[in-house]
Amino acid sequence: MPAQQGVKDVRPLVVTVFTIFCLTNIFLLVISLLIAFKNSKLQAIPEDIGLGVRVVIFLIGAGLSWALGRWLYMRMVEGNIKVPEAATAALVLLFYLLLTFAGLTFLGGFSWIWQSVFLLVLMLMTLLGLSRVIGTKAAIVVLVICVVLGIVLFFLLA
Amino acid sequence: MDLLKRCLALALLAPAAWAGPKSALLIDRSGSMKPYYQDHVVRQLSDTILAALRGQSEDIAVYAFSASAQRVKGIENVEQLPFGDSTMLDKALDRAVKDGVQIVWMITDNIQDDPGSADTGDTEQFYKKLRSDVIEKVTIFPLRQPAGRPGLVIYALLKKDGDSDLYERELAGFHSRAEGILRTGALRMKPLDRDTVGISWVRANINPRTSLITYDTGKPVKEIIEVKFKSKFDHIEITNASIDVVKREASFGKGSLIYPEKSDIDISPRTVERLGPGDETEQVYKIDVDLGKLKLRNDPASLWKAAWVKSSEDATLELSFVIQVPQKNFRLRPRFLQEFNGVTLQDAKNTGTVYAIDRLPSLMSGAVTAVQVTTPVVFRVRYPSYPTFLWLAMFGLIGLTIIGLFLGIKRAAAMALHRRWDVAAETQAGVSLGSAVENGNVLVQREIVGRVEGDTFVPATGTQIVQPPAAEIHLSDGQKVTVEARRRLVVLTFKKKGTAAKAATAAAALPPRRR
Repeated sequence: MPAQQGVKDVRPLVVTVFTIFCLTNIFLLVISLLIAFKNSKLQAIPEDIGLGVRVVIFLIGAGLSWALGRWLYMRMVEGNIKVPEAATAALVLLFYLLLTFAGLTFLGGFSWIWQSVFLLVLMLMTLLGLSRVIGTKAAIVVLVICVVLGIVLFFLLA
Repeated sequence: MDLLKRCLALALLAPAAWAGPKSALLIDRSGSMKPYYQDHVVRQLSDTILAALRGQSEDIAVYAFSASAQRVKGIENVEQLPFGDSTMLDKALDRAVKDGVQIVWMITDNIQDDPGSADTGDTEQFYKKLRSDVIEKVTIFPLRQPAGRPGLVIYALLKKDGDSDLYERELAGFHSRAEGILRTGALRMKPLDRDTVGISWVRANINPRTSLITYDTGKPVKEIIEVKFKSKFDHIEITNASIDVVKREASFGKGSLIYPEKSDIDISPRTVERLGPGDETEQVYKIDVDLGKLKLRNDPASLWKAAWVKSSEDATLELSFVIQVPQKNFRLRPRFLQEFNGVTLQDAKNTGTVYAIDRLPSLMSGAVTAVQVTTPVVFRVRYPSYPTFLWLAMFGLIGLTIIGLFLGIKRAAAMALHRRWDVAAETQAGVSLGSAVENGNVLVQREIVGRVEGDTFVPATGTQIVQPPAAEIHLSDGQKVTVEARRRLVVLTFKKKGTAAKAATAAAALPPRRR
């Protein structure tokens, strides 16, 4: 029973983190689509900033992603979630945050291509891996909400 | 002291007071000008010019000239002077320049009183002077008069190294005041070779403001630019002139981090058939720009900026051409000539036009005038990524070196600390056993029985300290510790290095492990 209690405690946290990461990635994808197809001038960081600065931002992001992923993994293990499931879920969330930083750092005219591909892969990983922790229904609901919000945002900003 | 201060102030102010006026108005007082004085035309013109000049500076010199020039207080003093016999324009100009004047305005009918006299060549001399390096800018305002007398001419001249900004302001001031009152048009006659022809862009990926595509370093750049030449002359047209390309150094300038491999520029066709005043050529010219590969400068500063400051730059390349215009191929446009030119003196008198103004372009230009056409073109160039990875690799290497050094020093310090102790091991029966301290580990017959950490002996797992009874032993020189390892008792004697002869053990080198 205490183990079951632990799972219940950590699940809302994972769902919240997943929702935030997914929304951020959808938002960044919308911006890159606007840049590519609507000639938008939106920029996360100045267009002509040195590549070194971008790489450093990305590396810091990668470090943060790893730290956050590890922290979530520990919370999930403490919440009595099985180690393989916790590891998969933490890895999926880590990649969401990594994709966020990659999107922020290398946002541009063509970034929508790789952003879309990686986001689709992550969504697949969400349904196959993360859903074991947060539940398939919750995963689908969050994904649908994020995609719908993304579409609305695209037409609002276009 | 007060007197000294005043003297000093006077000494400092004196040169400014003696500097004299920068601008002057020279008024023709020759006999041929008499009717213009009688009708107050000269007075009206002078007042208009002086008002324009005084809008910029209060101190304006006024001269009256005929055979010679003399400075007067004001226009009313000019009218009191007797009329002269001839018009020595060049001498009047010399006088004003000698007095330190930088901008000269002249009102004249532009003709000698007696075209057949010995002074006939005087105007020619004047134009020679205007053509020379002494004068930097010449603008002429022909003024039509009512039929019955020839038109007048106003010259606005800027001496070499004179105040060009003031000159332009005065011109603009006169233009705005004269517009609508006087029937005139500004005719910029000098310089004919600078800022007179520009480039109009027909089709190009690059232009003076921006670059439509981004170029990559390391890739060859070859562009074809389609342009037309655009005249900035108001009334002068150019015909049958050849175009030369000015060879320049293959460089984007000092501030740029990149440089082109070469700078091969060509233009075709190589002639300007006709370029009307204010017009563009009908012909479209193709400029071939071949820069070869663009390269990043390999100095540390450039590599640093390319990695950490900017990812691209707008590199500017100067395109320079020279349009070689023979003297006879500068012409005033027909409409201007029709309005202001009197072919003969009689014609000028009859129509109120200016005598021989059509000769001005040939009088004011050399045998061949090299009209400079220079335009910048912007290439947006993306820097390569290798400087970033070079710096990151360097930082990584430096980081690893620092970590390595830190660990090495730490290990060396630990080693030095461990090396302070020697150990001798024997059985309770006094039989010597092979023993040593290696990297802090206390070995007895190749088996670890414990560690020396600083000055403390800590037993290994599976080893127990028997005597003295304690979990750890703080070591002192000659300290004996009995431990039980593998169900046998071993007496360890610790000795500080350098304090005594090495513990006499049978095996200085460790004997082979007991089986």
